[in-house]
Amino acid sequence: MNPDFRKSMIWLHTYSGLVLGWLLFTIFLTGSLSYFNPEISQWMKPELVKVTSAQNLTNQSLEKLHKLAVDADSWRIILPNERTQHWSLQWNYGRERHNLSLGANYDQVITPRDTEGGNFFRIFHHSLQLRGYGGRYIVGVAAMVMLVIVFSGIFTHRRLFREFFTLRLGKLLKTLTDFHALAGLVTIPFCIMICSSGIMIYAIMYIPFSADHFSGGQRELSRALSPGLIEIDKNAPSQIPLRDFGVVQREIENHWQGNNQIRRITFEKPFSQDGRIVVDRIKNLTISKQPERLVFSSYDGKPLQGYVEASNATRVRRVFFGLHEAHFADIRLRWLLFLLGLLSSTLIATGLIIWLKKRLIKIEKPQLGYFLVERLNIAVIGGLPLAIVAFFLSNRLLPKLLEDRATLEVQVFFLTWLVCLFLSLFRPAKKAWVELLLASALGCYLLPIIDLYQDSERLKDAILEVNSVYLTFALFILFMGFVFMKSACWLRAKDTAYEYSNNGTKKRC
Amino acid sequence: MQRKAEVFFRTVAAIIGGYFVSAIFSMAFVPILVWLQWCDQNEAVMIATMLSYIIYFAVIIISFSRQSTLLLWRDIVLTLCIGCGTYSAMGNI
Repeated sequence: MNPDFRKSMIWLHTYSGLVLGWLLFTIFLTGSLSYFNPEISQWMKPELVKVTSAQNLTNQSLEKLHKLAVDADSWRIILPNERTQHWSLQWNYGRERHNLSLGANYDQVITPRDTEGGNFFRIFHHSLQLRGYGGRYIVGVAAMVMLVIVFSGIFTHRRLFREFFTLRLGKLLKTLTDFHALAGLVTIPFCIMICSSGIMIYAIMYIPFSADHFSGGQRELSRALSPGLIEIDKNAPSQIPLRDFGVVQREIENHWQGNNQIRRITFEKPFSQDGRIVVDRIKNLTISKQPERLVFSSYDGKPLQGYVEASNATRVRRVFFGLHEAHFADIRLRWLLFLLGLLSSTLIATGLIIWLKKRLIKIEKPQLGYFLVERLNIAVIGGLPLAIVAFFLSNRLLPKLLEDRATLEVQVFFLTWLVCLFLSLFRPAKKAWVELLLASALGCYLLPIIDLYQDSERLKDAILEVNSVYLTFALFILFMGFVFMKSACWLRAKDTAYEYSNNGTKKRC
Repeated sequence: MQRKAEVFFRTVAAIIGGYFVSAIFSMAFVPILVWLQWCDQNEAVMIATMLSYIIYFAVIIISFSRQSTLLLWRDIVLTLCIGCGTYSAMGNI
């Protein structure tokens, strides 16, 4: 098709980027936010308070469960950790699930506002809210195409070193091109890591033929590769589960050194003699998706036969999974990954804008294709941040006791995005850009102000308790507001300057 | 017009051809791994499926960089045949 390899790679980079750019931008931006999933959820549920008495949490939880959940099929205790203050109990009778959030004191039950929290971004990132309709397949295709785009993008640049150190701030198109090259180079390893690990999460689901044929299905394959525990005998005599977790705690301390190593405690069939306790270790000690687990008997706390080690291939896949979710990362590495994610999003955004700008210079008459690209650029790149800000705003502004509050918040997100699409269709392009950016900036500034207005105690408590999650969120959102505002002003200045120079040349002619 | 047709056939080769090649690879590589006694069958399924994405990636890149579309399609069909042959010859291990 093209005479040499480099030319065909440039062509491939241009057009695969154009076709899936908007989808990729959406996935990358929501994915970057998902790095801070527990923190965002914590911010969106300000009712959750700091749990201070770290000592007896487990025994207090057990006492509560003994009172509330007699004869339940399973109990689960999720302990608060460094990243979230959420201390919650779950239990279920068959399919009937119960959930309880606990506060600082033993008898303090909290009802946090109904919200999806940061989990919304995570779900939207991997299934686009279309889980039943092939959303995960679309995201898989996008990840594969992103790998192709990154690979072919490397060949677009002949003088990598020089281009890396060039940033011409004069003209918009040149600035964008230089920034695109710079950001592209910086994010090559990140993009390759994130896309390949993203594909590996659903590797068997995307190409299931081998598993279906040789192992009889995807579930059978994963069961064969990482066997679970033995089935609990339903007819076993009933027993009262233990009330004092100390026995188990001592045993755990022999295995896992350090304080606060437990993330989650699950009781399977607590009221049966064969019932067992599965204790999950905190996740930041392993790259793998699967943290270490220990198993105990649920009525006398004796250690039981643990999980059989999974096969090598499964462990490799879990490491990919873990790399993608980055639960292992401490706060600094997490910020680095988050910023790399944002940089990749801007990389994709600048790529889309460059494609359009380069072509708009050459054409005389407006064409439908360019019109569509222009509008989609505005609606997606300008609109998505605004929709995210609107999602946060709705979390604060919707009444707390509304029915289906969580769904409404999500609807606000999508409605705002739709409004952005309409706005982009009916406004002149340059004005629409500036307006959307200014609206996002305004929303970012409003968020902390509304928070302060609703409950000034929150800020005071956060400062007194050094609640870094709350404070960082507020500061970062203010910073983003500043960035949006600055880029809006910069765009407007660029446009007026451009028009002036154009008019000037015309007059001279 | 000819260019459009070429782009079309190359895209089909990349997306559908690539998918078929990698799917066949994920099937045909399993008996090879088992025959070499490197791992058991279930593990081989996992390894072959994970590796097949590299094949997919390679096919996409080759689809757009090969000089002649005809040769490209010949190679894809040939690879598919080799894969099917390996699978039917060794698949019952």
